[in-house]
Order: sequence, then structure tokens, then C-alpha cells
Amino acid sequence: MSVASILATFATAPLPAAEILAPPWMAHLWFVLLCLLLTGYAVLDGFDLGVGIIHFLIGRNARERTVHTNVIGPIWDGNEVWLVTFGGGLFAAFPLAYGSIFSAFMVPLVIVLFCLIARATSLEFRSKATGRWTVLACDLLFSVASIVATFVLGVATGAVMEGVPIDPAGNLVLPGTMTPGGPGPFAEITFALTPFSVTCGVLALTLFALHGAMFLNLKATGITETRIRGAFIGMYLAFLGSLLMATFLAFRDVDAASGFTLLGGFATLLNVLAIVNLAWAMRQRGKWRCFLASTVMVTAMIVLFGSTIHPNLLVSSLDPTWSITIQNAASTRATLLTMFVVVVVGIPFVLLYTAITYWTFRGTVSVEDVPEDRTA
Amino acid sequence: MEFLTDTEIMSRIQFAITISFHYLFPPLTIGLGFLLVAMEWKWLRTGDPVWERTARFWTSMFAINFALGVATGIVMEFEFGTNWSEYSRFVGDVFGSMLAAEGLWAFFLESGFLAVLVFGWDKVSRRFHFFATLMVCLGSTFSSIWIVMANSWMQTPTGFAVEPMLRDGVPWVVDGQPVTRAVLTDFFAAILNPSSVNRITHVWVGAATMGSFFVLSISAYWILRGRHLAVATRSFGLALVLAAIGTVGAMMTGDANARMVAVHQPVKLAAMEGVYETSDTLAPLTIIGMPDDAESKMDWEIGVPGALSALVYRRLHDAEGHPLSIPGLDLVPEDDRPMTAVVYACFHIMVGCGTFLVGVVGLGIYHWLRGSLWNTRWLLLMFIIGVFPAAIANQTGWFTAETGRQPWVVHPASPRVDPDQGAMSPLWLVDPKRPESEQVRLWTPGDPVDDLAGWHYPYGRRIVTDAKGEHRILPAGVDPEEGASISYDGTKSMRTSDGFSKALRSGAVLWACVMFLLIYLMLGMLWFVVLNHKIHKGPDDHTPGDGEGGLIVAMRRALGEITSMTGLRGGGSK
Repeated sequence: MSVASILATFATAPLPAAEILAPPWMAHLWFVLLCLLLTGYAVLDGFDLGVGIIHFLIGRNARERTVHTNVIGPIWDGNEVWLVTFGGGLFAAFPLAYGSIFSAFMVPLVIVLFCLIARATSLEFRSKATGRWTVLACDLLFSVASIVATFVLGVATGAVMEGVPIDPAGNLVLPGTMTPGGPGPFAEITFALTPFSVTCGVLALTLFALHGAMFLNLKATGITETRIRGAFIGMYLAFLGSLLMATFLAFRDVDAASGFTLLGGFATLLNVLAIVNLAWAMRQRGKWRCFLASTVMVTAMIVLFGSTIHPNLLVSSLDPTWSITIQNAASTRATLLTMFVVVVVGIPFVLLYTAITYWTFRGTVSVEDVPEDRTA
Repeated sequence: MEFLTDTEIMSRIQFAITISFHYLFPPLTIGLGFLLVAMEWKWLRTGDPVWERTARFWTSMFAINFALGVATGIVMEFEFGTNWSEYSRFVGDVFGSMLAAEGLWAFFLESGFLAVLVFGWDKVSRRFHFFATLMVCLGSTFSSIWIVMANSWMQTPTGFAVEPMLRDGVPWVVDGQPVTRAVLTDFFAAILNPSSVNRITHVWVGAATMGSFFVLSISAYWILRGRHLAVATRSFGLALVLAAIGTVGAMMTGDANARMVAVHQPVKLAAMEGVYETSDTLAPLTIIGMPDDAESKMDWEIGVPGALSALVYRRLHDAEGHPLSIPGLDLVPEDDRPMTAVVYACFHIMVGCGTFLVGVVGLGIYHWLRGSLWNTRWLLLMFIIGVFPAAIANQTGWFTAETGRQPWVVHPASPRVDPDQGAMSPLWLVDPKRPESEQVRLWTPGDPVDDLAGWHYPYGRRIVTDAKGEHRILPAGVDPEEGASISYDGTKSMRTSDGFSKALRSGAVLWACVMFLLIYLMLGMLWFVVLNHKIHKGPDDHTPGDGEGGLIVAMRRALGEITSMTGLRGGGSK
């Protein structure tokens, strides 16, 4: 088909009814929706990844660590579903971005998937294991997998903010492609590693660690509580340090971060308030306030991420005109509208199920509940 | 080992590994879900503690299989983006929305209530627990509906148009080629495409077979060993009913599916049945045979004469008395043929396994009605091993469906003129080498075949019928003229070789394959350990003092007992 005949088809195409029902900003609404799904994932899986990160820091022996696995045992599965839905939503609403981002980050994603499955497996194995060393091996796998998954997710988020070398067709151009030797053996990973993205990885680690600790604080009593209180200052300072570092590097390296947006400013303000409030609430031993504060912090991070990349979904670091924008990557408006209806009807149910699950498993777990002879 | 450096082949292998491993679990949980609802219903109605123990045990079995299904399912979804980005960009508007709908409606429902199902026994009321079971069962069933509809759309796509993609309001051109994509024009036509209902029902009966044989296998093992008899016999009875529905249903829906394939994917049918040559006589149904792709013929073929024609057309001759033959692979250019040997083998393994299971279930019901089932040890042993053919049939069935439609990832619409006429309708054939007015002809099963040399299915081509009623092939890039009607549009399809991610190096895909194999090894080990532990421990709190461990050991013992053929009665009880 020639370009002219395509244009002709387009000019004569009748205006579908969906054109009126689904205005052009429908795509942006979907962007917001996806940010919400990502927030849901970061808040929910954030704390169970976080519990994994501080698994050995807070739990000093197998019995104490059993408290952690008992707390997140019934809920991690439902939390990860948010990631699946985010992936599905991205596929449906922005197929172009889905194809480009996922194929560019293929290797990091495989690492994340590997870790998520390894986490699930180690939790399962742990509940069946009886030997001391088996339990320790499961604990180690669980913790390392949580750490690696969080770090890689953080790095990928940072790399998306900073921009990725993609060609006009939206495919990744590996660094070194133009050199005689071709791309290096680890180019699929190294393309994403910059000072900013690595700092984002560390920031994700410290943030989720804090968030996980606040969730554990809420759900566990006894010795676990004491240990969290003891480790709090260290985790808090580590988070503050990586946040300041990431902010500095964002202004230095990320083009989009230098411009001020109302939403970005609001998120920053919210973040600062939450960070201050977290320390204050911890002093006053307000467990719910602590958890709320860390939840707001995670949410603010995602809002900052969203407001930074908007109106792009993936910035091309080679040529800005090759960037994949929200409008260009979007599915047809009819599909966006159909899917929007599906989501609007579906979300209340989803929240209801989540609420039912958490209500069923309300209450706290303590190390005294774990029998001494059964570590798992 | 040349394929190791081919990104497309490696991506296909990676997808095959991940989806095959994934598909061990969903049919099991869907089938087991039906049984769980029945068990919990019985418990709710009777309050019988045996039903409670039964439901509790199978729920814990359900949980481990479900968790593995979820974990491996996440991989599937992401793989569309990582390895098949060109495909994702092309079909996102249609296929992506079905996948997202699945995630939201079904996945959340099941995952949300699963926690209540597994951990909530002592925390919620019996009534609410039953409700949660029902929701999980519904969730996994909904899930299968969306996924199979999405896959069916790739097999027999309808309700969409291929449109140029826009970038900032103007057509997006990369390397001088306008980029196109599939656009949803009719949601219900897309989800209720010609194959979706047939395929969903076939998947459900497959799942019923898988889930019921899982229960039958473990129950039969206990009965043979004389353990947990109360729970085992009740589970066995319920599962036997579902197995009967599943296996008989599989034959019926399988027949409907094959007839649908005959209309919409005639090449797949030819590959399934090993029909290399179009003949003007009735087509035999091959029972034994080995396809030889290099020579394009069947070796050691033994078949039932005329049976394939009879199955597909439901009669042997058309109105004029011509025998109804089956179009063969010789009408397809070599590039458009699937790997016939694979398709043929998978299809026949599936049918073989299904036939075996029908026999076992039939005998099981016969002995059950006679009251001699629990003493017929060889039959119980058949039930124990029956779980393997059930799993193999589910796997090979999908292998048949997925390898049979190659080399297409989005299959072209049916080359038949009018799908409403069913398998009886004539075929369009084309020969681009002939003069323009003679390039298209119709071929009706039964027509002479000696003049078919050079004629092909019009895959990837467009045929127009002009005002005078003459047909010709439309060269690529030309719009149909005024007054001409499009009979068949082969441009609305995608080849698998165009669908994989161009950004990937084969080394990265190879690495991913190794990583996934590693994690699946781990998951497989976990699955085996947990299952073995649970089966051995059983549903009762007290475990009989039986030091010997493991399913394998016990099966070996059971085999030994059978070869001796003595002490059949009550031999398994302790």
C-alpha cells in the first residue's frame, strides 16, 4: 500500500461513535490508570519484597524469621497479581510501549521473574522443610531473591526515566552496535546501568526495606517489634541518603526532571511530609501512622516517576523524535474505551477481594505463636 | 546446533518450554476446582466430617498446583513483550485487551479468594468458605475462557481490520514501509470467533479429565494400599463421574473441533491426519503410520478406508455421487506447511491417550456398578498411571493446535469461500504463473486431481470477484476496484518469522531458556516433594505406622503384588 492510498483511506473513514465517547485524552487517562496499577503493585508487593530484604536484619534466628514468612505467606500471591495486571494493561493500552520496553529490558525482566519465582518457591519449601540447614537455605534464597528483584526493578525504573537507546522502530540499539567489535557480551544489562539508574536501584531497596519493616511492625508483635525499632534509624538514614543522591543525579542526568510540574511538586511535598511524619510516628509508636507514611512515600515515588516520564512512555536517548509517546503508542480509542469500562467495573471487585483477604488475615503474629520444635 | 544462534527458533523454543510447563497446572486446577466445589457442597449439606477432610486435603493439593500455575503464568504474559514484541505491537489492540481482561476479571477473583480457601478454614464460616471455593473455581474457568478466546482469535481471526499506524497524526513509516496493526472493529465478533466456542469446550473437558485423573490416581493408590479408605473412596466416586464427563466430552468436542479445523485451517487438518496428497477418492483415517516430510509421503500406513472423509463430511458422496476427498498438503507451497511429522505425532498421541482413558473410565464405571471396583487391582493400577496419559493428552493437544497453524502466528482467515457452508464448500486455488484471467479456480472435494499441479491455497493473497463474476488474484499493494468484492483476504495475518523481537540477540534468549529451565527444575522439585509429602501423609491426622516412603516405591510394590496375582482381595489393607 502506498502512503497516499493510506491517507485516502483515512480521510474517507467514517467517524466511529467511539470517537465521541472516547475523547483524545482517553490515552492519558490510561496512563494514569497504569500508574495506579503500578502504585498498587509497589505498595503491596513493596512490603513483602521489603520483608524479604530485611529478613536477616530483623529475624536473627529461624523462629523469628518464621514470623516473617507467616505474615506474608497468605498475601504475597495476591500482591503479585497487580504486576500481572499492570503488564496486561500496558499490553492492551499501549502495545507499542509494551513491545519496546519489555523487549529492551528482556534480560533484567528475566532476572526479576527468576527472583519472584525463586521467592515463591523458597517460601513453599520452607513451610515443608524440617532440617535446620534446609530452612536456612530457603531463608537465604528468599532474602537474596527479594533483594535482587527489588534492585533490578529500581534500576529499570531509573533507566526508563533517563531514556533508553531505541531506534525509530522502537527497538533497542545495544551500546557498541556501531563499533567494529559489536556489542559486548553483557550489553543487554549494561545499557541500563548509569549512575542514576543504579542509585534508583539502591533507593528502591532502602524504600522497600523501610516499607516492609513498617508492615512487619504492624503485623508482628514481641521480639520482632523490638528489632524493627532498633534497626529503624539505620534504615531511615540509608533511605534519606539514597533519596538525596537520586534527587541530585536526577537534576544532573535526567532531562525531564529539570522542568517543574505541578503534580511533581505536589508529590515531592507529599513525600517530604510523609518522610518527616514517619520518623515522628515511629517515636510516638503509632504503628498505623508509620505504615501509612511509608505507603504515601511509595505512592509519591510512583507519582514522581509518572510525572517525569509523561507525556512519553519510553524516551529514546538517541533522538527525542524517536521517543514513544502516550498518544502514539495507544491502542485505538474504541479499545481504550472498552477496556476502561472493564477496568471501572472490575476495580471495585478487585479492591473488595483484596479487602476480604486482608480482613480474613487481620490480627498479629508473634514469635510465641511459632512452636519451638517447628521452625517452619 | 545451528538453531542456537537463530533468535526466532530460540524464542519459539523458549515459548514452548514456558507454556508447556505452565500448562501442566491450569487444566489440573480447573478440573480439581469443579471437584472441590462438589466436595464442599456435600460437606455444607451433610456436615459429614469425612467430606470436610476430603475437601481440606484436595484444597491443599489445589493450592500447590494453583501457585505453580500463577508463577509460571506471569512468565507467559511477559514473554509476549520480551520475545514477541513485533507480534505484540501488531495485535496489542485485539489480543492485548483480552489478556488484560483475563488478568483483571479472572485472576484477581481466584487469587483473592484462594487465600481464604487455603488459609481460612478456621477463620471463616463454612458457608463463606464454600462461596470462596465457588469463586476460585469460577475465576479459573473465566481465566480459561479469556485465554482460549485470545488464542482462538490467533487461529481464526475475525472482528478486526488491519490499519496503518499513526505517529503524531500522520502514517508512521519505518524504512519506507508503513507500519500497520490489527485494530478491533467488533469486540464480540473477535471473542466469539469461529473456533473459540469449540476450543473452549475442548479445553474444559481436557481440564475435567486432568483434574479428575489427578484425584483418581491418588485415591486409587490409597485404596490399593488400604489407607484413608473413607476419603479415598468418596473422592474416587466423585472424580469418576467427572472423568466420565471429561473423557466422553473430549471425544465429542474433539470431533467438533476437527470439523471446525477442516473448514478454517485445512492445512492443519491435512498435517494432523498425514494427508500429503490430494486424491479424488475417499480419504482413509490413518491409525498407524509415520509421516516422512522429506519425501512427502506416509510410511507404514495402516488406515480405515474412507473413515476420515466420513468423519469430516458426515457422508461419503456429494449430490452427484462424487467421493468426498480431503485436500492435502500438496496444495500448499512448502513455505506454508507446518512440520507435519510433529503435528501428526502429537495429534495421534493425544487421540491414543484419550482412547486409553475412555477405556479405563468405562471399565471403572462397569466395575463400580457391579460393586467389584475396589477389588479389581489391575484396574486401580490403570487409574494410578492414568494421570500421565491425561497430562500428555492435554499437552499434545495444544502442541497439535500450535504447531499445526505454523508458519502463521496470526492465521489467515479461512481460504474457503463461505465458512457458513461448512466443510462441504469448495476451495479456492490459485496459480500465479498462469494468465491473469485463469489464475483462480474452484476445487470441490471429489473433483479430479490429476490437473492440480501448480495450484495452491491462496494463503497471503487476495482474491477478487469482478462484476462479470470472474475471479483473479489481486497483486499486493493494489486496492480492490470499484464493484469488486473481496472473497478472501490473506493479508490480514502474520507469519511467526515476522513476530519475534528484532532487538534480541540469540545468546540472550539462550540464556533466558537456561534460566527458565533452572527455575522449572526447582519448581518441579518443589512440586514433587510437596505432592509426595501430602500423598504420603494423607487427609487424616493420624498416619498409619508405615515407614516406607514415596509414591514410586509404593507403585513398584503394587506392581509386584499384581504380577503375583494372589491375595487380590483385601491385600492392600493393613
